[in-house]
Formats: sequence, structure tokens, C-alpha cells
Amino acid sequence: MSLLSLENITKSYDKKTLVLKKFNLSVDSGEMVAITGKSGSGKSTVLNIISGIESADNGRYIFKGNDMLELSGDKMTVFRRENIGFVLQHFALIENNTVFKNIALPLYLKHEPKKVIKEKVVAIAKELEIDKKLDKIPKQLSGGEAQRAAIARAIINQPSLILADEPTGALDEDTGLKIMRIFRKLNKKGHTFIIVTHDPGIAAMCDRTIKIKDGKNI
Amino acid sequence: MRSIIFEEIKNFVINRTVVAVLLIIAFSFSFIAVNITLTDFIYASNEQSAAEESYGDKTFYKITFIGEDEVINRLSSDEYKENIKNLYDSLKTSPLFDYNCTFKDSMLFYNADDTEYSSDDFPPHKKECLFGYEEGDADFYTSDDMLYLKAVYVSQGFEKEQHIELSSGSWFKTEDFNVSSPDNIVLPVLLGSAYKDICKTGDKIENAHPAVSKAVTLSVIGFLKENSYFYDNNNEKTILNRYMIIPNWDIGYDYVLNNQSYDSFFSDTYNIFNKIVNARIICSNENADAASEMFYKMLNDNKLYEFSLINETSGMRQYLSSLEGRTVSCGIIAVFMILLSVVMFCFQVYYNIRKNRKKYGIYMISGITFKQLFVLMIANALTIFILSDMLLCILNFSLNNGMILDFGTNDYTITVLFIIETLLSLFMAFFGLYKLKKMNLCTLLRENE
Repeated sequence: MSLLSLENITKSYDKKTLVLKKFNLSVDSGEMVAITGKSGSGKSTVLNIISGIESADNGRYIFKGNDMLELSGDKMTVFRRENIGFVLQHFALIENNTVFKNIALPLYLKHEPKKVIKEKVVAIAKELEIDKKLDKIPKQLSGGEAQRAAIARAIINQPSLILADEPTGALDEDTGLKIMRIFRKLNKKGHTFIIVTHDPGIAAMCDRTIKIKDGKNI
Repeated sequence: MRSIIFEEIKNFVINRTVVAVLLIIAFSFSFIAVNITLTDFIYASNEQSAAEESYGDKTFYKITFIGEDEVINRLSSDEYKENIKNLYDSLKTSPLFDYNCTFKDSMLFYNADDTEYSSDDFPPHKKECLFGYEEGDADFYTSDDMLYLKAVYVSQGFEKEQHIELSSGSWFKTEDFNVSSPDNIVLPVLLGSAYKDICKTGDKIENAHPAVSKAVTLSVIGFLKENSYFYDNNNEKTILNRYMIIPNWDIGYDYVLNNQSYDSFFSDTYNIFNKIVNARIICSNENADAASEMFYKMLNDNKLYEFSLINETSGMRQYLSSLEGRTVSCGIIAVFMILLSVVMFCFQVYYNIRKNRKKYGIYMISGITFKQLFVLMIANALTIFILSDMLLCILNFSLNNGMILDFGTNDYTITVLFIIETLLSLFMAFFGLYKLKKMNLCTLLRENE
């Protein structure tokens, strides 16, 4: 069953630089897809369009049957909060907040009750084996722990889709593999992943790979 | 959300203590300057409108004299009696100016039978005179065997004052301003609106002189409308609700009585010397110089060189001008300080967004709505203002208690401060949102990488 599809997506910056040229992508629920390509090929722009951070100039973007290009402002924000989790190369954790507060951030924004927040955070931290680090701040974590905290934050809302932009780029090989194993484990539980990477090894661990060059599918 | 706001505020105060403290101090002192300016402005405006109401387009002179007790003794002695009387008559009949002697004083009530009696022995209507002192003036009531009532002794033409109107009864007649004999005096009086429940037109209030026990009857001839007011000879606005209005009468007999006793009951208003030193000379602005010249000619003619004229209106104009100058100076300082604070504040907002771009990016990928972001920004600004206001209150309280400076806080200044704070908070929030909207989220997230 198709979770999302991008059809003939075109995107340019300043109406001069064409970043995506009739790009197509279809992802089914429960898939784990890698998008690979060289730097500047348009990989991150694809993620931005999928997450609604940027909008396409032309084309169609359907998510769970909804035309996403019609959403804007707070509706898009709420859609993002409910449906998409982000895992980024440099973890994107708030430095002064504890791991607990970092993981709980999407729940705070949803005004979840304190008790529910605590239960959910502890459960997810146990699953990702960082439950003993909940009162630490990001500086006190290793790269792998920090990325696991970021993953915990990404999945705490049980989103349909997790977008990972170079999730292992800042980690050593072993830690990177551990993270990919976590992704796979979560994927088996039903989370859909789109992983942007330039590492063929990481791409090989996904169900399929979409290659992009100069903004086009190849 | 509350947890996020709390974290934001904590991070701002703990991690940027120096900036926070500087901002708080800057705003506190700016607000003090605003407070002082507004307080001065309100005071100056009130004085200005009071002066306009009181003086209008006329020139007011006050008569004064040089010297102290011995001058008073000489001028009020028999030797000068005729000269004083001549001066008084000349003042009252001059075509160049109006003579006005209207001033506040107390009307004393005595027990005609026994001055040793306590106030319990006074007839009921006299005790009710105390009614006039319920509002903080009880200190006037200083003796058990005397009762005081707030009174205004007025010159003829008092009814021409702008804000005086009768609700019932009639004004004084010309003959009411003359008493021809010390015996069986009947004085018509008007009462303020507060006395309507106690007295009615036609009531007689008996009084007596303590030394000679002569009867004086005060006859109520009318009541003033509520909140009637005038400016007395010291230019104080006087609301007459609780006053008795009495004609400032002239007498047709010698006030030194046969037994050589001094009739103090009347002396304050009756003595011509007092009527001169409590008087005002009122003329049109064009006649001001001529009126002054004429007055000094009258002094020369009567060899009363100790008297002189003070131009109240020009004094007031100078005073108002100095008040205005002070307000403008304070205003310039306040504007400068506010500008300085706002510049610091804007820099802080800009710096805060630049420094925390990554954090805001994280909030945004975590699904913060613009409304929530707006609240977050407002909370940041309000923290500064609440702490500034607290420092402001502490400073006001401390300085005021130490009698060093009372920069006054009233509803008006608090409203203005509230408006400034609200505008700046909104500005901070909108500016922050605008900056964040303009930035690419990817850029925000990759900050510091």
C-alpha cells in the first residue's frame, strides 16, 4: 500500500537553479528506502519536500491519499508532527536539555499529560537502551547514544514515516551499523524509513535504493 | 509547552546572565525615567489647567508687605488705622481693577452659656458641623468646647466664579456684606451640598462670642450644587461640598469694643488690615501695569510703603514654564534611555535568534506551531519585563522609603509602561517569527555543525 508518492516534482531556488527536475518517488508503508546521490544532487531537497519544509514548484505530492502541496502553515506543522520523524546527521539535540526533555519535546508540543510523557519516554528509551542516560545532557553522550536519543524523539509520536538525513554520517562504522540495526528493527515493527545517504553500504541495508543525479531519477 | 517555556527562560537567565542583567537594569532605569516624566507631565498639565481655570486671561496680584511682627503691629495700630482704611476704600473703588478677598478659614462655634462645657453639650445642629470633617479633616477639631466648620469668606461677586452654582435659595445681596452693629447680628450663609440632609433653607444656626457672649445668628439662604468649586486666594482648588459660605462683611462700627476687648470672633475677617493682606487685585492683562502703578500710588498717598504687589500670574507662568522645562528634560532622558534599551533589546532578540537557530530548527521539526513559537518568544520578552518591573518596584520602594526619590507610580504611568512592554514583546515575537520564517530549516538544523 502506497504511503506517499512524488510525481514529476520540480523545484528551483531563485527561479534559476533547478534542483529537482520531474523527480518521481513512490514509497509503500513498511518500506525502508535509501536515496543516494552525490552532494548537490537534490537528495536533501527531496526530504524537505516530503517533510513539508519546502514546497515543490510543480508536480504532485500525495501522502496517505492527501494532496500535500495544498497544506501550509500550522496545518503542515501538525501534519509533520503527527506523521514524520526526523533523524539527522548531527543528531539535532537541544544542548542544554536533558535526554529526557529532548525525547519528550514532540509530546510537550502536543500538550500530552506529564504522566503519559514519562511513560512513553521511559518505554522508548528502554527499547533503544538509553534509559540510563535520560538525565544526561547531549554533551555527556557518545555519538551512538546521541543518535539513539534522536531516533527516540523521532519515533515517540509513532509517525508513519521516518526521514533520516545521513543518519550515520557522524558516527564510526560500528556505531553506524548499530544504528542501522535499530532502524531495521523499527522497520520490522511497521515504521517506514526514507534514508538519505551517500554510503553504498548503508544503502545496501535498505529494501531498495533510489538514485538521484542532477535532480533526476536515474 | 509550559515545560519548554520554563526551559527557555531558565536557559536565558542562567546561560546569558550578563545580558539578562544588563537588559533588566536598562529597562528598569528607562521605566523610572518614563515614570518621572509622566508624573511630571501629569502634574504640569494639572497645574496648567488649574492656572487656566483660576486665572483665565486676567492678571492676579497679591498684596504683601515687607517685614515681620513689628511691621504688622505698626500697620494695624491706631496710628495707621485711617491710612489702612483709606487704602482699603481706594482698592474697593478703583476702576482699573477688582478687589477680591475670598479665603478659606474656620467658622468657630461656641456655647453661648458656658465655654467650659464639652462638645456633648452643644446643640445637635452644631455637633453636626463635625460632619464636615469626616474626610480627614478631624484635626481641625482641637477642643472639646469649640466646634469648627470649614468656611469660605467671600467677597461680593463670588457668584460670578465659573464653577459655582446654586441648587436652591438665593445669592447674597449687597447689604449682606455690611454689619452695622455688633448686637443681634444675623448673617446669611450658603451651605455646601453635603449639608442638605442636615439643614434646609431658612434654618437658623445660633452662635455666640466667647468673650462678650453676643449672639450671632447664621441664617441659611441656600445651597450650592454638588461639586461646586473655586480657586482660593492661595490658588488652591476648593470643592465646596462641605463648606459654609459666609459674606466677608464690612462693619459700620468700631471693632474695639467699649470694654477695650478685641472682638476676635470677627477680627480675622473684620479687620481691614487682614482684608488687605488676604486680598487679590484682579485686572485685565492690558491693565496690569497701570493697575500696579495705581496701587503703588495709593500706597504713597497713604504712606504705607511696606506693602507691595506680587504678580501671581507671571509667577505662575514662570513656575509652569519651569515645570514644562523639567518635563521636557526628563522626557528627552526617558526617550534616550528607552531607545538605548530598545536597541539593546533588539540586539538581544537578533542575537538570541542567531545563537539559537538550531534549537528553533529542532522545535520546528518536532512540530512546534507558529502560535507556540509566538508564545515562546513573548515569554522570553516578558521575562525581561517582569524582572525589570520587579527591580523598578524595589527601587521605588527603597528610594521612597529612604526619602531619596519618589518617582511616583499611578494608573496612568503603569498603563504607559504596560503598553511599552506589550509593544516590545509583540515586536520581539513578530521579529523572531519573521527571521525564522525567512531561514531555511535545513540551515537552522545544520547550525554549529
